[in-house]
Amino acid sequence: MSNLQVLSTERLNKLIDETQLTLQELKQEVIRREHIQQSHEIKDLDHHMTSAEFNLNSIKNFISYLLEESKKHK
Amino acid sequence: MENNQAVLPNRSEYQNYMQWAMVALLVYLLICAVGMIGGGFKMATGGHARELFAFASNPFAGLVVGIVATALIQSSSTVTSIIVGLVAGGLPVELAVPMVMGANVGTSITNTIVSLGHVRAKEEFKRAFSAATVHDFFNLLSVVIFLPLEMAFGILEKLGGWLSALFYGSGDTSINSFNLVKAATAPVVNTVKSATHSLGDQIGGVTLILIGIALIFVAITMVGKLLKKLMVGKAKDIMHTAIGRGPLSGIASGTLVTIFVQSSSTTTSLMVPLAGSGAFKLKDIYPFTLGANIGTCVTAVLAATAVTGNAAAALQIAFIHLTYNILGVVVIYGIPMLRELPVKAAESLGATASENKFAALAYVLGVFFILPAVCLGVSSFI
Repeated sequence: MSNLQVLSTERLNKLIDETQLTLQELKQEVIRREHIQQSHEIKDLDHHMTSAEFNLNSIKNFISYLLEESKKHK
Repeated sequence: MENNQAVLPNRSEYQNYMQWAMVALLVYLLICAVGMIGGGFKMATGGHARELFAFASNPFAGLVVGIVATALIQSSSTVTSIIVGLVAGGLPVELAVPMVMGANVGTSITNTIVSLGHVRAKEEFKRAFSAATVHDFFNLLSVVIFLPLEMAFGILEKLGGWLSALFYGSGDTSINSFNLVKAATAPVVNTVKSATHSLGDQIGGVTLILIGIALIFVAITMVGKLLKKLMVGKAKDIMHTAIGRGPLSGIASGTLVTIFVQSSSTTTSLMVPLAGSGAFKLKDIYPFTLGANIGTCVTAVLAATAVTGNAAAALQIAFIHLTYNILGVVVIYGIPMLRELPVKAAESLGATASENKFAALAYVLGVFFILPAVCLGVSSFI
């Protein structure tokens, strides 16, 4: 916006209102999309239930990853 | 073909009934087991429980016992149920309070370990590790606030005592007058008690405690597995309902899901992949994990309603666990300045751990094993 100085105060206020409204709409749309994504993830809850168990393999994989990483950095 | 289609739903319905019957049987066994621990402890100590647990008279030692026992067993419900049984058998309530607080901290190791599974994807690991450790930081902050208050004023002990007195107060309306659950479990508890009593007071008592601990462990593990299958649909509905409805709804849904699956570890671990995928932000996860802390108290309260021996004290410690977790949420989540502390700490740790994975290992070992060991060492000199 290079012509700001030539715009009337009234016009500027109108632009501010419009921008705020657009910003609000954009935020609402982002939130709506986040909620859809969350709903989608919850549909897979059965799968998450099984993967969210204490598992010695998680520790084993984590340790082997650490070993791989430390070898790479040597 | 039509016949087969008609038979299939019936079979699944029958299986469903059988699984619910199994859940009821396992809950019954859990209550019996807590009664056995109480009876066994009383039999073995012969009224000298205080002397036996003299090492835990220092609250830090009690706290460490709770943390390490829960971190090793991977179930706060099991540890708190054992504590309820021990209190029923004569363990003084003031010694048990720090143990219960420790159980809260110890249980949060499970979701932290689950988050380690995301280590190979940097951003995913950062989110998952933060989501897991927000529970740790909340529980640690809760101990930092309430343990000194408890040592100085005994607030939780008084609150628990007051709540317990509502049920065990004098008069016909108290659960002392007739307790259906106690009456139902007494035959099993008494049969095992008399069988072990033939081994002598001490060996018999210890055997009874060990049988009780094994039964609690089996019952809670199997109930957890069954309820996960049976309640997954309900959990989905609850979580769907909570989406976009704010933190109070998140806390309520975390509480309900934990009551349904009878495990706070399951609920909080469930949040780890949801956060890892990026669908749920830390601010969405946080209230849900707080609800898990509240929901997990139901198991011990249920078990405490049917114990013999010092039943009022057993119910008192179960209510202490419940009030401790409710007050933790009210105080820490209720005060904006405190509310953000676990989130900021978890975000910062998540960022550090995603850059340097050894920091994650150091954190797990440090918080759940090394720090408790150091505390225990220091407290033994005090």
